[in-house]
This record gives sequence, structure tokens and C-alpha cells, in this order.
Amino acid sequence: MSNGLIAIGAGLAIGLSALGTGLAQARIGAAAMGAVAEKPELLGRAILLVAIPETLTILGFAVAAMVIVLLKV
Amino acid sequence: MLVPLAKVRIIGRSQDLARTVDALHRLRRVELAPADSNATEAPVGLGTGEHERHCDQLRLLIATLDALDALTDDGPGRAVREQPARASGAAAEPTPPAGATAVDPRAVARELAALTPRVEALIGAVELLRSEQAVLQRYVALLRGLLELAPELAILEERELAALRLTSVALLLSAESAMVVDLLDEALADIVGERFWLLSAPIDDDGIGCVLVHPQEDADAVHELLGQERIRHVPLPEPYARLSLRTSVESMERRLEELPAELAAAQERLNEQIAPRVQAWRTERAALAAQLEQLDALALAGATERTFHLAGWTPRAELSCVAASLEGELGGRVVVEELSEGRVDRDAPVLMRSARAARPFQPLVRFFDTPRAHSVDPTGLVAIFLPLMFGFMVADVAYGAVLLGIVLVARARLGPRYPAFRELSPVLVAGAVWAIAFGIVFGEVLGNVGERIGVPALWLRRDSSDAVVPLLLLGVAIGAVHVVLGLVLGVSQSRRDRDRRELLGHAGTLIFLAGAFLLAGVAAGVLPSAATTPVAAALIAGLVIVSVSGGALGAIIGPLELLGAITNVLSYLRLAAVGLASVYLAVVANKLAGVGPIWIGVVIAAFLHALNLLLAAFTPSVQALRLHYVEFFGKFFIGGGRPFRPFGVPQPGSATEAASGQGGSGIVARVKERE
Repeated sequence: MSNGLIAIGAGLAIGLSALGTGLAQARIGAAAMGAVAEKPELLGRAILLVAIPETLTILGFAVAAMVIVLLKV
Repeated sequence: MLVPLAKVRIIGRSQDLARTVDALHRLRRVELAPADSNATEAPVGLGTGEHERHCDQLRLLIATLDALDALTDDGPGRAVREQPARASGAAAEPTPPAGATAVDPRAVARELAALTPRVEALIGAVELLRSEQAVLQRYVALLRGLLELAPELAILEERELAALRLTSVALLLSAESAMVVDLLDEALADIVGERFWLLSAPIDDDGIGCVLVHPQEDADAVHELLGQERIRHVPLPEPYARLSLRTSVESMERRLEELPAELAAAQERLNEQIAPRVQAWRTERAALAAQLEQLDALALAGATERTFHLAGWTPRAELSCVAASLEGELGGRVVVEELSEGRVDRDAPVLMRSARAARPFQPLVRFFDTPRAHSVDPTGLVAIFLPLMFGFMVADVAYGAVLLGIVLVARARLGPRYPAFRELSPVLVAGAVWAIAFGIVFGEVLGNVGERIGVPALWLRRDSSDAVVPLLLLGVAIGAVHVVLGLVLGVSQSRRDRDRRELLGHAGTLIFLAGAFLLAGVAAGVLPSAATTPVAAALIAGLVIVSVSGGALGAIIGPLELLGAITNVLSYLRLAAVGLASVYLAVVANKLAGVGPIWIGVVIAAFLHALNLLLAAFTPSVQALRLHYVEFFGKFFIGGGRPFRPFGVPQPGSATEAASGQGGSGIVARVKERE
């Protein structure tokens, strides 16, 4: 039971953060592609902007890893 | 590194301006810039109608020569063009003859004027044959479809139709108005009563084919009806107009068999006119483009009544060479002086020059942005860290070896055709080599297959549960080094730019990060608790400095900046995260290989490993680039630079672009139509 709750907690940590990243990237990506369509030279900057929210998922992963490693019985 | 460029001024007598520009064009070491002085006049002849006409004539000749060159694409000219490219491994760029004035535009114009009518006639003949071929193919398909509708017609010849006093008409109706068939049927019934036969069926996505057979005496009434809107009569080409459907199809098919030979002969006649001259035309085109560039460059010169002066940029190390060459060519009648000595000009163009091993990484930096003049060029550091990060994420001997093999084979096969791939392939090779190296460190071959076959791990095995924390810590450690390096470069850059605010911001962030790392050490028990006071002092000092550097809003922006810096370091956790995801997928693939019959297991494992390899090729590349662009470059990189473009070095599409806008000759128009 305890292991199950730990797994659910870890899953929520990575899952919710990935969901948040996805929502943010969807909006940023749409705007960035619009900008690139107008000015193709902005592609590098556009990738940069789209990539920024990914850190949220990485932090979620770190929390999930810590939940599993530190709380595992 | 960015090559230091010197701004130079070239001064000479007015009558030497054209020769000076010609010499600079051949020298290919100076980028010309507008003369920024109190010049009172434009150079002699510039801006006049004659000058403009001369430029227009050159553009027209270039466009015509380009059009003639394009005609060789499907003839012997292609072979002529591809041969030198294959031999040298790069697209051959014709070199203008020594002294661009060696080619007389009037002579080229005369030659083209004599040749153009012949070539146009031959192009016309080829186009006519191609058009006939396309039309007949369409008609044959249509008529064959119609004959299938009425097999009775297929067996009738025209004399039999004539004997029956019948006429057949082929019609094509728009597929969007299927009702029109019924309407046509009704209209025909009104005109000719029951004495007609109308069959219809869809021919393709665009239309419905119909065959109408009616008595000859009703031909006028029927044609009048067919002339009305919404009905497209399919008039057969003149030679087939009086034939029956069946005979028409047979005649067209015979003609279609003859056409390829006629087309080849016409193309051959065209090539005979063009191919012998194509190399000469390329040289002439290069010379004319050089003349055009030189005429355009005259507009950049400043002049007084008796003198001219030109401004430009050249690599400082080559300044003496440029001066010596010009003075040698013009007999010491020009003076070259440096204007930028001891000055920092941030609007200067940028020339990136890296060590040979780092050169393939330059496009990755330029893809982000061209560094501004007098800023840091990170190409060398990217060459060190990017493959290392890629290798750390993939970290598998087998995956690395396969990637290496694929890249080497692809470079050998595709390199000559795709120069961009050839240019970037060393980046992939370096990444694959690092992947093999880290694979040895972790003892990984196709995930945990290495462990099963007894490959030892030099450090730890990534698929074990004990590996997660050390890998995360290593990721953070790489991040700390990378971000701190970026901040140090940022401090150096802001010192060079004498930007106190930036300098304070970067220095404060560095102090704060040092405090944060030490605090982590104290928390982990690595450092004694007595270190807490200096650690707290470092954290507070960093916060205060960053807040002060933020000005009026510093109290709000400062803490956010520091939080951002911590997040930047933690962002490198992805190095471990992506690597763990890769190894877990490989382990899953290996586990599934043992489920069920062996052949199913092997297929599943092979599929999952292939998928993992594909992901390993893309995801780590994107993540490693992102870490550079966002976390690393963000600390010091200043973009907005303008690449150094030496006068005389052909720029992609410059002369052609200018010329293509001219339109003009019939050949240009015809070639554009073909394209």
C-alpha cells in the first residue's frame, strides 16, 4: 500500500508538471510558429522560447525521483 | 573566436577609382561600407542615366546567361556542370577572369542577340512537342474511357459512321455539376427528339466524360446547344477532328509513340546550340556579375573634385597585405589607413574563425544568432560541451557504434549531394564517440545486455535503483560548471563593454550560486556546520548585489534573477532524466524479448531498440542544444552580429536575385515558364 502511494505521488509529480509544460508549450509554440512564418530568421529564438517550459517537467522528474528514492521503505 | 576587423579608408585620385574597386574585387579581403565623411559629390558618372542603363544591361545579360545555363539541366550541360562538382566535392564556382573588365558586355550582348532567335525557336519547338505529348496523353485517356462507355462505337470506323449518316461528339462536363448531364439530355430531346444517343461516366476527379451520337443533319443544332455555358466540348486536335473515336485513339497512340524520338532530336538540336558555349558563358557571367558588383560598389564611394575615398572592413591581420596589394597594383597612388585603431565599433561585421575541430559547430551558433562584434564567440565551448552532453544522455556502446556507422556511411554517400550534412556530420560523429565512451563508463550495451554478457561498468549501472541519485547529482554538477562558466564569460563581456549593471548582476549571481552550492554541501554533511555563517553571508551578499544591479525594481527582479539561475542549474537534471529514460526503454525491450516465442521476442526487442535509437538520435541533440541556447548562452551571448562579406566573394543569389527581377528577354521568360 505504502509503495503504491509513493508510486502515485511520483506519478502525479511528473504527470502534472508535464501537463503544465504541454499547455505552456502549446501556446508558446503556436505564437512562435506564427512569428517564424513572418520572419524565418527567428527560428532559433522560437525554439528557445518553446524549450523554456520544459524545465518544469525536469523539476517534476527530480521531485518524483526524490519521492521514490527517499520515501521507499 | 571572432577575428579582429579593422575599419579602413582608401584614398586616391578620382581617375583611379574604377581600378581600385576592380583591385579590391579581386583581392576579396575587404567588405566595403558607405564612406562616412563629408564628401561633397558623388563619384563621376554615378547616378546618371547612362550608369543606370549600364547596370540594367548587365543585369539583363546575367539573367539571359542564367536562363541559357538553366536550359542545360536536361541535356549534356548537366554532365558538364556536375563533373567538376564531383571531382572537387563541392559546387564549382566559376572564377571571373583576371580583371572583370576583360569581358566586354557589348560583345556578349551581340553574341546573345545572334543566338537568341535560334534558341528561342528551338525552345518553342521542344515546348510544342511537349505540349502535344501532354495533350495527346490526356485525350487518349479520355477517349479510351469514352469508348468503354460505348463498345458499339469502338468497332465502327468513320466510313461506317458516315454510311449511317451519324456523327459522334466527345464532351467533358465538370464533375461539380453532375446534374448537367440530365439537363443536356432534356435539352437534346427538345431539339432533336429521340434521335440521339448520350452516354456518360466519371473520367477522373475533375470531370464526367460523355459521348453523344447524333444524325449528321442535326449537327448545327447540336453544336449551337453545346456552345452554351456549363458544357465543355472536347474539340479534338485538327488532324483527328474528322476521324471516328476509334480511329482517333489509334492515330493518337501512334503519334505518342513517335513523339519521344522527335522530342529527343529537338532537345539534341537545342543542346548543340548551347552545350559548346556553356563553360564560356559561365565565365562571362561571373565577369559580368563582377562588373555589376563593382558598379554597385561605386555608389559607396565618397568623392571630392579630384579624389575619391572608400571605407571598408578587413581582418586586422591582413591590413598590411591589403595595403601592399593595392599600392602595388596602383603604383602607390592610393593610401590605405586604419580608422578603427584603439576604438571599439560594435556595428562592425563579424568574422568567426574557429579551430578545425570546432568549425562544424559554427552553424549551430549561427543558427541561434551571429555574435555581435567584440563579443564572445562560444563555438569552441560548444564543441567541447555539446557532444559530451549528447554522449552522457545516450551512453550506450551499441547505440553509439550504430549511430557512428550510420553517420559515416551517410556522409560517404550523401555528403557530396548535401554539403550541409557533410558540414554538420563531425558534430554527430563527436556525439557518437562520446556515447560509446560513456557507454563504457556505465558498462552499457543495448541497455542491460552488457551486464548480462559480463561487460564491466567503470562507475555504476544506470538501470540500477542506486544510480538515480548519483546521476542526478552528476547532471547538476555539469550544470553548475556550465552555468558558472557562462556567468564568468558574462562578467568578462560586461567588463569589456563597461556595463556596470550587467557586471554587478553576473558577479552577484556568481556569489549567490557559490553560496547555494556550499549550502548544499553543508546540508549534505560534506562541509562542517561552521561553514553556515560564511555561506549565509555569500547568499545575502549575492542577493544584495543582484538587487542593486536591478535598479529601482531590483528588490523584485533580483530574487527572480537568482531563482532563475538556480533553475538554470537544475535544468541540467535533464541530462540524467533523458539518459535514464533511454536505458529503461532498452531494459524493457530486453525483458520483452524473453516473453513468448523467441522470434516474437526478437522482433519486439528489435523494434523497441530501433525506436530507442531513433529517440537517442534526436532527443539528446535537441536537449543538449537547448541547454546551450537557454541556460549557457543566456549568461553572456550578445547576438545581432552581421557576417563579414568581403567584396568580390560571391554571395548566395546576390547578382542572380538582382538580375532575375529584371525579366526582359524572351529566353528568360520562356525558361521561367518552363520552371
